This record gives sequence, C-alpha cells and structure tokens, in this order.
Amino acid sequence: MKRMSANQHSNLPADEVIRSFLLGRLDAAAQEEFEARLMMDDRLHEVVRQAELKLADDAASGRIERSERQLFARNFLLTDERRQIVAVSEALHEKFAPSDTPRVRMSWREMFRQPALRVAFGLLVALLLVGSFLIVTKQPRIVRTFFPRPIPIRRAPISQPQEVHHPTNQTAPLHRESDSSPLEHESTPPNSAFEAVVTVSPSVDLNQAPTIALPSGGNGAIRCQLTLSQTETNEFQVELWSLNQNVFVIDSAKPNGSQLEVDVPVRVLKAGDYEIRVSRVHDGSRQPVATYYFGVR
Amino acid sequence: MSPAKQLRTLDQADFDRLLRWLDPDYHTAGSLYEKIRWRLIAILASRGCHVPEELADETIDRVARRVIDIRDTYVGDKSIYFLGVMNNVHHEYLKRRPQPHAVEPAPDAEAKERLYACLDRCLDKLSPHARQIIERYYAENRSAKITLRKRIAAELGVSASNLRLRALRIREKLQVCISQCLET
Repeated sequence: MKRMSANQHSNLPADEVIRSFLLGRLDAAAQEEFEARLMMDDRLHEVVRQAELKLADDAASGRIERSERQLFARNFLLTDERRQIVAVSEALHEKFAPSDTPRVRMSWREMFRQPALRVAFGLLVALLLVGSFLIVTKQPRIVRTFFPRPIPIRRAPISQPQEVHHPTNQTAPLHRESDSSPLEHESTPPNSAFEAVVTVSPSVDLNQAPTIALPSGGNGAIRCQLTLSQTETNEFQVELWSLNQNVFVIDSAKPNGSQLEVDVPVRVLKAGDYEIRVSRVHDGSRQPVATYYFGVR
Repeated sequence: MSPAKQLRTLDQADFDRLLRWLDPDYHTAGSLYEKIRWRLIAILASRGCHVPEELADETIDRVARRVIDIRDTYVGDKSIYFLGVMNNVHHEYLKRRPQPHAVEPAPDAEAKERLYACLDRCLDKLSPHARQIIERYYAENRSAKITLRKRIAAELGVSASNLRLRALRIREKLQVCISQCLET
C-alpha cells in the first residue's frame, strides 16, 4: 500500500500528494487515507484550497505537463467554482504577464478603427479585384483551368416501372422488416438513425485511425463500434476527448459481446482527431481498459 | 430508503437540526457546514465524479434527515459520518445509468468581460501592499518567474515559500470578492 509521503516541515501530506489528489491520480489506498484526513483536518483543508489555486495558476500559465493537462480537464475542472478559479487565474496572467503569452485581445471592429489598417485592407481588396479582372480578360485559359465550362447533363429517360416481384439479377432480394425485432439493433448494419458508423479497434494508432466526414445538420449521431479484446459483460465508462478537451462522457455503457457501441451526437463533433477512452469503474476507482482513435473531417 | 423518501426535499426543520448537531453556535455550525460541503465536493471531483456538487448536496440532505435518529447515540468525528454517507451516495450513482452529458462550454466574450470588470474592481479593493504582491507575483514570464519571486521575497524580507503563501492568501480573497461580484 502506497502511503502518503509527508511535507518536510509539517505532518501534512507533501505538495505532490495534494496535487495528485486534485488530479485524481492517487492509488485507492492513498486516496482513502487522504479523504478521511481531509474530512477531519482543517489545516489540510486550507492547504488543499491553496493547492487548487496553485494548480489553476499553473494551468493558466501553461506550466503543467501534457499528461497532467488531461487529468486536469477530466478530474479538476468538474465544478463551477473551479472553472471560475481557472478563469480568474487566466485573467490575472493576461493582465500582469502580457509578455508571457502575447494574446491579441483586439476585436475586428477595434482593428478597423485604426486608419493604417483600414487603408491597407482597402488597398489589398483593390489589388485583388484588379488582378482578377486582368486574369479574366487577358488570360481566359487560366480561368478555364480552374473553372471548366459546365458539361450539359443529359437526363436519362425515365425507365418503365420494374417488376418488383421478378428481379432480373441473381442475388436474393433484400428484405426489410417494417417493425424492428429486438435483435435488429445488435445484428444489422447502420440504420437511418445514425449519420455514420465508424468501427475502431484498440490496436490502431492515431496515424492509421479511420476518418469520417462530419455529416451536415447536426441532429443525428455517429455510432462508434469499439472492438474489445475479449467478450465482456461489465459496464464501462466511455470518454470522448478532442486534442486536450473532454467533450463527451457516457458513465455507463454496456458491451454487446466483444463490441461496445457508443452513439456520439454530431453536435459535439468538429473536424479534428478524437480519442475514445474506455475505463472500467469499480468501487469508485477507474481502471483504463483501452484507447481508440478516429478522425473527423 | 424508499424512492418516495428520496424524493422528499429537505425541510427547514431538518436543516436547522443538522446545524444544531454540528455545533450549538449557529455561525460556527454554518462555517462547519460550508467546510464539509467543500470537502465532499473536492473528494467526489477527485474520484472523477461529473456531478460532485449534486452528490454532495444529496449526501448532506440524507445526513440531515438522519440526525434525529443519530444525534444522541453517534460517537466520533461528525465529518466522518458524512464521508460514510457520501460513499453510499456515490456508489449508488455509479450503479445508476446516468444520461451522457456534454462538458460545460467555454465562457463567452460577454462573461469574460464581466470577469475582467470584477477583477479590476476587486484589485482596487486590495491594500496597496497586497496589490503590489499580487501584481508582481503574476508578473514576468515563466522562465523569469522563479528568479523574480526570490527577488520579491528578499525585498519583503520573507522566504520564497512565505511569499507564495501570502500571494495565495491574497489570491483567495480576490477569488471570494470576484465570486460575489459576479453574483450581483
């Protein structure tokens, strides 16, 4: 059992242990010990509060590692109070440390109030217009390279009604049940409720991950079929991450044999790479099971 | 506990009884209540729970309803009783099938502007000395920060860790002030 290492000058847990608690990375025994102590110890309460502020400051100034950043988003930014603490840290850094990360806080409207920028933008637009005009009039070939003349599409004559009961092909006719049986969901390929279906397995890394086109609209869902290494009956927690941000969570997903199906609403997706983390939750602790990748374009 | 009982909202009598159980002095009890709630939220968040505030309040509600039965017999630290109830509440939450939820969106430009206005207002309320500490604590870029903090600490005649403590205490006051400002 990993015990809590103590602070050098007091019997409080070390700063690193407190940080690990805030990031949710203590092992089960240390977590239990820490929780009991935090409930009773006013001094530890105060120190943890300060560690929260320190962690928020570190995150705001980019002083946390990549692995910590993911834990920070997953286990720290879970309360309104903490989100506000981080927002204040960011504001303080922006206000007093402008040289650290130069940020453009000027809006487009403010930018166009500056005469020099206004003139420069006007000149650029005029230059583009004159250039385009010259190309169109003097070099029509170049224009045709990019915009070929449209080929008139000849409409195919409308065919006679086909004999649906006497197909001419050799394959058996596709039979669709109008009312879905309970097993349909498990055995059939995508139906119209899903904009797309993507099947991913844990052995595939990001470079070889499947990519799907983002469907227009945004009301539907993408069904992700996650291949598990073995047949499972337990429930899992599934998290969808974009580059560094947790965008979607399903706290309890039940697998179908060796496959776990997760429906992700299209509205939470944007073009980019995504990571799906599947964990087993048992007695309050989470055990990672597999990671999957896919891309959206 | 039956579902019907679970749905019953916490009434004022239960809540007052809870406060009296925590401490006979109303203000001390209020402060203890706030501390316990904050600790429950911190623990639930550390466990990766996505609704820590909700479960902490559910825990407090359950304890409040049980006070009438346990107040004469319970021996030991009362905070630990809350932890035990919270473990049950969390366990039940993990067994339920909650709806998937999207993560909070980033604050919009208007919210950011309000935050900046409150920050300015709260900075103005600090004493000149406290403002100087906070200003210099957050100043300079990352690489120069440690050197700068050592210099400030030397100027103020305190150790670097003491300076950090002072800065964090001022930062804590700022946070409270900004929260109150944003609520108004």
